[in-house]
Amino acid sequence: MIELFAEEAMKISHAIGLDAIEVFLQKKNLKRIEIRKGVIKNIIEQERSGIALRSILNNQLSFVSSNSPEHIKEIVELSAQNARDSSQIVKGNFIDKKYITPVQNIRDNNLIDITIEELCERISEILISIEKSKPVKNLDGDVIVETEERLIANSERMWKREVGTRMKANILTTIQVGDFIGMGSSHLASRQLFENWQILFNSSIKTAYSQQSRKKISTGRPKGIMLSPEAAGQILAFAFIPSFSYISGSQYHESFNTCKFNSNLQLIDDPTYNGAQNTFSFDDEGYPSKPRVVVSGGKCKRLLGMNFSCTENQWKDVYLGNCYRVTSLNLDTRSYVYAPTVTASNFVVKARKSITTNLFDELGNGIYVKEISGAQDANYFTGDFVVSVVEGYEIKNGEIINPIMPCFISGNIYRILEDPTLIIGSVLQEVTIPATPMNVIMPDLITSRMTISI
Amino acid sequence: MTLSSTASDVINYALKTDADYVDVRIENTFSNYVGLRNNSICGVNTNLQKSIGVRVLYKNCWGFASSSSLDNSSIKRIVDDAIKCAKKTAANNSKPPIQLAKISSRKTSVSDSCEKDPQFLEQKDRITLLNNINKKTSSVKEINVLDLKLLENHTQKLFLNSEGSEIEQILIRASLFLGSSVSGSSNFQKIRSVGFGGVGGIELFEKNDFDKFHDSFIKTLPEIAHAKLIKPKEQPVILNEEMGWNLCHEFCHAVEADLILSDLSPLNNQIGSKIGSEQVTIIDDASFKGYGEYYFDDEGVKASGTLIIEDGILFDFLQTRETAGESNVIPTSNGRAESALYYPQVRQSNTFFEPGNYTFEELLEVTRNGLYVCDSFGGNADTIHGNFQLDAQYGRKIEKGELSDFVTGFSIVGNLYTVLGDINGMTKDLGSFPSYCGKNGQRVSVGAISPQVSLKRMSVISNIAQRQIRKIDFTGMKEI
Repeated sequence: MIELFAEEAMKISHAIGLDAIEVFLQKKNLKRIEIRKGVIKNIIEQERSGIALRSILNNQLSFVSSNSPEHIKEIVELSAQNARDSSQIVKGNFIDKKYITPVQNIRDNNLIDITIEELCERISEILISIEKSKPVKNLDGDVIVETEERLIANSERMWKREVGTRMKANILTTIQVGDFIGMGSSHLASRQLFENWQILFNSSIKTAYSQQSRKKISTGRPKGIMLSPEAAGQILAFAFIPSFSYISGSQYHESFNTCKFNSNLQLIDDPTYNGAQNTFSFDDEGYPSKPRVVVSGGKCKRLLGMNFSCTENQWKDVYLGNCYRVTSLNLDTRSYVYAPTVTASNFVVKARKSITTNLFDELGNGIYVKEISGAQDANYFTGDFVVSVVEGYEIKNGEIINPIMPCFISGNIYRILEDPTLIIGSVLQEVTIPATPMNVIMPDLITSRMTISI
Repeated sequence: MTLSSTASDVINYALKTDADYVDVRIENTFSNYVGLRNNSICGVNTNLQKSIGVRVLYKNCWGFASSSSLDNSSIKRIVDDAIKCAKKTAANNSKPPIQLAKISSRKTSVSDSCEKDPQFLEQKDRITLLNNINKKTSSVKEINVLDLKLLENHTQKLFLNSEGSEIEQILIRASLFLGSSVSGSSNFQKIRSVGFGGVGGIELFEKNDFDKFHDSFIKTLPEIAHAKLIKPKEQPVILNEEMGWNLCHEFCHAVEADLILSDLSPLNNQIGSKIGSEQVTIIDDASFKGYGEYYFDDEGVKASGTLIIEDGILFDFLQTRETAGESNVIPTSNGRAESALYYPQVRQSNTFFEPGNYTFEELLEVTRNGLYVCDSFGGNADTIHGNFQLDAQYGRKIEKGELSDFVTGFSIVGNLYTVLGDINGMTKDLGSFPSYCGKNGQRVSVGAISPQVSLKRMSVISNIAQRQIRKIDFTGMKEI
């Protein structure tokens, strides 16, 4: 069905004299179960579908989106009108048919057939068992399964279509023991049907318990801070990764050629990463997915880019193929509604190969920061950030001594990643950044370049 | 078929089922975006969206389904899905059932007015406006990147429920965001980002208020580019209107009744307690003129003002019909959803400190020595423990009751549940800006409205990593 709309759009655009057109069609189904106070509170089914057009007329580009593809004629005409009025000048054309993939690509379809009833039953069983386990005071969270079908086609005869599913879960537990109120969270991102829900719930409860006897820590710069993948991933997502988009305007663009990160640092944007949230066969302009090395041996190789964008490409070494239609602060972070822009897919910090010692032993004495909040306010222009430590522990002689009181930690992500003493862990973990389209896959990091302030 | 008759069909179909309560929301939105970056137009985007959301109560459990398709078969399926979801919830729910607070049903149609309706405006007019603003701004030599973003929305919203309400409202908004990165001799880039807008069309940007705002933006850019870094310490501060609103907004997350009922805010049982100085009165008012204004919330409750804090005493919480029913109070018209695709939850609208009796000059005199904290770059708060952090775009030192040097690279931190006690004055005038707030994956427009607010002490920390952060005596921080 959605191919028909695309064909119709092409025909109309030809008839009304557009120089070129690109059609993006998306159909989504979302199943969401909300848990409040330990019971299933809301069950939500949502369907979203729509069309987005980019048109070129006399080298002027426009963008229109609508969820009424049955009015395709009016939408194409509006797109032409916008292109006529637009002053956004572009060179060249949409990507051509050499990138065609004639066979429909069904990817990661493990979750497609799961019904909302099945999901509910699996979760209910766990919730009933938790309700009996005191002293869990509260348990909130949500479980989401999303199926997405997208088709990209353009007047250069390029057609691609893909179907994929993904699952996400966030659980927040509050426990009360006497006067002590502790909180713990756990998160899941998967392309498979997750079977062991009990582990997810237990993990958040265990974290909540572990927060008893929190101690205040002294301010200043500790010998070392070990950042969990969840904590480091959030900092990277906001303070660092956007600067690899050549349209972001980071002040580091001009110095990337000479930037010298820790020589063990290898950063790859990988939309082909097996089973990750942002794994796709092609980007939202139709470029085939492939791993793109942005930093290797501590040196920056290339920035991430797309075909047409807001800014002319001033940087000679830019990868094409990182165009996605995304936004932040929203449940639906990937949608046809949003104009295409450059963003990372699965941003991978490669783990070190050899495992000689436990990372806690390598830290020795210091702080282990497991969960943070506030990274979204980081300044990616400069790399500076201040974040709040939600869950952290004091480490002595490689052992966890006690949980720490909430505090703020600050640093500059460029200084941290340049530091020769930076230690990169050996076990990768996928971290989805809430309410953003970003996904980071990375190990723990140990740095001596961060400061604690209360 | 009109949207109104579609909504009636949904209600009629749903009433034939065994649902106890049904509401249907349909939205038809025209939105337009034009972006200009570094003298070039970089986006001319139009978005046309329709959406429908059906919410049912079955045995006092919710079911919700939504779709972007409004054809006949979809509509029936959505109602069926919503009822299926509600039945499934009822089968798995052992907790006390949901009781909606009672409201009177209404049949009405209301609309914003504007001189330049976004639906009928030509892109050329918008591009001319942006080019003129750009021309005036880009003369500042310290600018590295200049981004102008013009957003307009025309939204028709229909709400019908099984209690007989039939409400249509048309909301029209325009906003313009000016963003820039600037650098001075140190080549250290600073970000400047501010917004202007409200109810209406782009005529808002052709008036004196906008010219004043724009002039102030241009005037501060070179000063910020050459601003020095600040020494962190606890000191008296005056928050400008945007920072004042940010503080108020972060606090008011803790009076959202859904967080209170989920034990994610410690303010339950605190009604009547003193939690701020006598200078502090906080109001949420969706009927107040601002970017968060509406006539009815997404549960059909008529927009009204809620007195949250009066003279430092906690007075009321923000409610939906569900939370109000659970707490046996009246709903406060704060049930809002991002669109009909989403279900309503407790959200702020226009939340603000009530203005005080001071002029800005008088506040400077009261403060004598301290910091004038201006324009937020972002912020976050932990409503459970109360820790908050607000990043400022820039500040000005206050020395002997007068504004002096520009400074940058700092955040203010504190505890939401003690900071209101340190407020010792507010100006007579309110500033109003457009803003957005995200919660549980839903983004809604809110009015950033506030007077200038002075506090006798505030912890100011550097957010520039190269500087050693001094130890701060942060007595306000404690576990709650």
